[in-house]
Amino acid sequence: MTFLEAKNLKSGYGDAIIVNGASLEMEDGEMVTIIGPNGAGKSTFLKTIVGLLRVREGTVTFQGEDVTDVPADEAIDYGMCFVPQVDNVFPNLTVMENLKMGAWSLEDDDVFESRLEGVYERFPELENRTTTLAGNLSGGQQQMVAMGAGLMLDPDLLILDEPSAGLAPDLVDDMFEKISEINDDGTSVLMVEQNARRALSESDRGIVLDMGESRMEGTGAELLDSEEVAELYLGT
Amino acid sequence: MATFDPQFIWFGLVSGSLIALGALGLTLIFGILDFINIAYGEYMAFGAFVAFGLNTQANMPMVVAGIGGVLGAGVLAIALDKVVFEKFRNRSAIVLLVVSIGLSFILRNSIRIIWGSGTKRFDIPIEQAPTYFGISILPDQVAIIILSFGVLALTFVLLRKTDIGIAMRAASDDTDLAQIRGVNTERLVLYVWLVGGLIAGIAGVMLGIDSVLRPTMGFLTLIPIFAAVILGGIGDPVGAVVGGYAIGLLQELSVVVIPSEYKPLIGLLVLVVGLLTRPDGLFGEATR
Repeated sequence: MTFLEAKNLKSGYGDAIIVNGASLEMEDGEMVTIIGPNGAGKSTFLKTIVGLLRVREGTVTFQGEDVTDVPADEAIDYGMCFVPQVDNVFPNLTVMENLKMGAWSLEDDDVFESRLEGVYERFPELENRTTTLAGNLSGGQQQMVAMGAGLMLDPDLLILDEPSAGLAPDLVDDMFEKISEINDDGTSVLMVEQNARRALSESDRGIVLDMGESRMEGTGAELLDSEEVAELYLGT
Repeated sequence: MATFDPQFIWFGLVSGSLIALGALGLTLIFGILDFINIAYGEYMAFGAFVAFGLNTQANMPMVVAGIGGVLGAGVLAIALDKVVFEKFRNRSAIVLLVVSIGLSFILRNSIRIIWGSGTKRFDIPIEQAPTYFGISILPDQVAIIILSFGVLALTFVLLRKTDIGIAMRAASDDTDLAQIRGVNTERLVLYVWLVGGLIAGIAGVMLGIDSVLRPTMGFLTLIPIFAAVILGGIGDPVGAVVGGYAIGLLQELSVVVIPSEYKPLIGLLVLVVGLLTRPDGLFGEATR
């Protein structure tokens, strides 16, 4: 059974079709990166998969269930969690409140506490900033809050939109390391990354999206070695 | 014009309490739905008139009638969302603003049709105000101040300490992200309308107790409420409350420098000066 399958998706805003027949398949435990030029529809593709945008055509199945028309607020119940690129924390909520919101549908207090501990273990910097407003944190710390909140429900699939965007170069390495760790601990990861070389080298597989369609796919290494990909999508 | 009298400060606290309540309700609704509901004043008037009906027409004691009026305003807020605002959910703030202006006319005139356009009073004893330190203080006014303080405190406990309140603030920050977190924002919107409607009802009933009831009572109070919301930084609940007390005090103290007929102008003046000089509110950076 395919873990996540998006088939011939079409979606967009108003009359503008941004994602135009893109497809994707991934297996449980994989880390997959979507690369492509600006405006290729990468973010829109992710938003469509998680239900923030309506699927106009095509289907999405996740762990054997049809989730094509599942809205974003229910996607989390199926075990997928989306971390947007920008606006991924609530700026006027404290770090603790943000993490609580990450566990919104979680009833059990003991489970909440243990997940919280898990997040602090992964992002120790957050532990002594619990009462700081997320909007007052640095970009890197905000990204940690966003990922931490996303992990509070222990999702089967973490979907990340440009996790390294806006981070200082040394933090980019840290962030990729964290993502690899999360993946090694059993959470499948699907991400869009501008930092394509770095992301592909960490990923099991990569998919090239262009003009709203999936153009190529292969293992991270294959795409990195491909002259065509290098020329068209990776820059020099 | 009058010479300064500590009495004005007391009056300012009373009207400030009412304005603060209205401003909190209005700003909460703005926070999650991103539009200023011009009909909010009519929600207040509706609550007051329902209480009036229960009090004078059904002969209920004021406390019971007041609770009835408050619940009435809460139900009205939810019903109007279902019947009207829900249909315009994804439209621009301008469309929603115009819709709420239309709704405010309809509501105000419905009140006029049901209860008549004359001035009404609750059936409560008119008391001689006892005087403390040269300030005459009515028990009703003390009740208004304590009750609104209680409601404000309760609302902040709701917003800070409960899951649903944190979700309201979260959705006010970012509705999309709240959905990603698993919040059913449509249901949350109804809770916000309920809280906003109940607060409007409380403010309306107390406004009626403090003075008289007229179909225009809510609409005329909307200007100082609006000024308080702007002064406090739109969408910021704490700012709205501080703004509310500030406008109330300013209005009552203004009679020292201008004739008292011009008192209602203060709200407008603060609104204009505020928008010109501090468009993001008194406390600097806006929450949105």
